[in-house]
Amino acid sequence: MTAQPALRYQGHYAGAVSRLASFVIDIVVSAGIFSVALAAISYGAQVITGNLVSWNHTTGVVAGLFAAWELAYFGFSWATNGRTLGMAVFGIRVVRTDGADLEPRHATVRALVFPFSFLFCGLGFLGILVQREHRALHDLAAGSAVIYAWTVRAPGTGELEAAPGPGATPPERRDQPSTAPAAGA
Amino acid sequence: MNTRDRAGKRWTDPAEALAQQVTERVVDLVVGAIDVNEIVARVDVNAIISRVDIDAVLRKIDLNDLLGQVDVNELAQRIDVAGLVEKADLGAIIAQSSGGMAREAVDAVRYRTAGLDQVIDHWVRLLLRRKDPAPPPLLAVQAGP
Repeated sequence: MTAQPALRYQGHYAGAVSRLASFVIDIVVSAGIFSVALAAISYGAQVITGNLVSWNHTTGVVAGLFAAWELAYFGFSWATNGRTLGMAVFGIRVVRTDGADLEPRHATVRALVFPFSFLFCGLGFLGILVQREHRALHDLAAGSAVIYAWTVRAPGTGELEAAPGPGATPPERRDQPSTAPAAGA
Repeated sequence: MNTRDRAGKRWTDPAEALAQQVTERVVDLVVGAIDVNEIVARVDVNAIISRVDIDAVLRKIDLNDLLGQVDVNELAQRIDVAGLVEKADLGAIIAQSSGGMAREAVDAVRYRTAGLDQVIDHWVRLLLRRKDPAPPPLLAVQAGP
């Protein structure tokens, strides 16, 4: 793979596959961390009290803790880096619709509305497929968009070629033809 | 040696010495007059080399015999492997090369996934009969240093 074709994606709106793949990674990682944390708390309580402590996963307590943890995982990641671990793997980033970095309040709104996108068989995610800028319900609510933004390096040399980083000048919009590569490229 | 021989030698020795001196002088003059560089320049080295049958020369060399005379173990013992490794900083080389490979692998996955995104987007656009072009990039690409 040469660096030049990868450069053409940078700054464009990310599609469904990249976003779904990054979400799968995030959910696996965050659920794994949550399970390890629960086990660590159980072990700590057992050491302190001397009694076996186990979590009843059928109660709402664990579900509530898990929901709070997911909210914190996604919200904090978007607020601080504009991307979660899974998004970093697939080289995508959440930004404002004008290309600016996501502010904490926007990240919080996005994280709060995110679960509602799952309602009605994931109707909120339909926007990623059909909306022109691939924006889901939580993107529309938070005024955000997801773009390809990985640092493209020259193969072999590892020298930095280009990246749409924070502060990059947004191009003139709507009045120029897209430079997006043809489908299947 | 008799009297006749001694008388003859009295004449021949100076003559021989004189002849030797003359010869040396002539040789010096001739050699001094010759431009060796010019002669070498006139020699067609390529023509000489083309006449040499290198294959025949190589056939005459018994490589097995030649290698048999080399004590490889002694040669290997002379190599300071630890020193070489220390100078080469093998750890850094391995780290750099494996890091580079991992980075290229991740970039390839990203590129392929973005390609799949484009394929799906293409089919959705066909399905929705959307004619307008895809939106321009949200952010401009910043060139590296």
